[in-house]
Amino acid sequence: MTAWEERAAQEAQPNWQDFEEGHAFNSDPEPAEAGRGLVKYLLELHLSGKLKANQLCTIAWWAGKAGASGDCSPLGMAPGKASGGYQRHVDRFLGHLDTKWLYEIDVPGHDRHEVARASQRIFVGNAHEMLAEEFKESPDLLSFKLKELQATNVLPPSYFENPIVQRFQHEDIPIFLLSVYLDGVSYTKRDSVLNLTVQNLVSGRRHVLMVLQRSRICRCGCAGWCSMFPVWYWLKWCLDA
Amino acid sequence: MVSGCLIAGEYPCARHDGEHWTQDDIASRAEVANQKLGFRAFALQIRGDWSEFAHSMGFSRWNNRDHPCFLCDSSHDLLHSLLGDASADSCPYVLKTNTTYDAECKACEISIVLDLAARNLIRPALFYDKRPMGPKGR
Repeated sequence: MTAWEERAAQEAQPNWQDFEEGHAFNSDPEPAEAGRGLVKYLLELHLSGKLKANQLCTIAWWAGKAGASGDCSPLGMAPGKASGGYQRHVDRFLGHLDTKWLYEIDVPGHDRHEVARASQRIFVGNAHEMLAEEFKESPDLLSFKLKELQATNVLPPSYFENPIVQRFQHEDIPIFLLSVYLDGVSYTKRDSVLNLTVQNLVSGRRHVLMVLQRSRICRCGCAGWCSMFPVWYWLKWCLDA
Repeated sequence: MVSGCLIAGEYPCARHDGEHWTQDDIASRAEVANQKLGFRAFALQIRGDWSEFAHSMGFSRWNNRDHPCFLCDSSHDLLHSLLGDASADSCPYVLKTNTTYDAECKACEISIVLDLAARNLIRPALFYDKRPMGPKGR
């Protein structure tokens, strides 16, 4: 389970979507619980591309006026506003506008409004910052777990044979092993994103580093390499010596 | 100088392209530059499906006639014929190594010696820079 999945699981409240045959489901929830369920369901529809931001905010606004509790009123926005305002309102509600911790890189790409290649700014998470954050949460536990894996010979020979381990193993600081994972993830029927994650193989925790929209990858004849090169260059900076 | 992060075990002192920190970076990243992370880490594995290895990393594709597999020296005609003999820890074909891969790449490269003027012309064009004074790519 990823870090964000863990957070979502901790924050999750029971709602109708959790219902499966054989599982207990509260068919008569309290008003506050029903309000939370409504907001969560509306946001799921929006995030899966089935509900536009203006529809989401308008439904939440009417629901809030009708007496729905929970986050309906903060999420709601009166009908008739400028269309861009609804998306900004939803982003602000979800905390998506808090991008200060993200790192910005410019990559060439494709823009349907431009004939030539377009430059696009993407937000990425630096691997060293995310791993440092994870390490700060429980440094002793992670170090202990690594020592345990080393002592019980669970780690593969490639770990001990790695030049980094052989060079720095005399130091009294842990040397973690990572895996980099790259795959496409569909988010609509027509488009997908390229997802780059790094996993700490000691803790098993995954961190999303980058998400790049496939439809915006360069189409100049480079097979996407124009867009990928800055990404690999940045990843090398995060990982390399 | 651009220093590395995880292997070096410290926060970097400049952006990934060697440029100075941006205004947004100064508040958070410039303050911790060169400070120790408290650990080192390195990438032991790169995982993904064949499609991503071919598309995003530029390795050869399965329909390549001479090198359909980026891990072994199988040819296109023989790729599937010996798969029954393959297992998780053995392969009927000779596996490629970094050395053989580098050698094959070098065999395809054409070396040209540039003078300083040509070098200054070509080098910035390798990076996509859309600023008014920057090279616009190809």
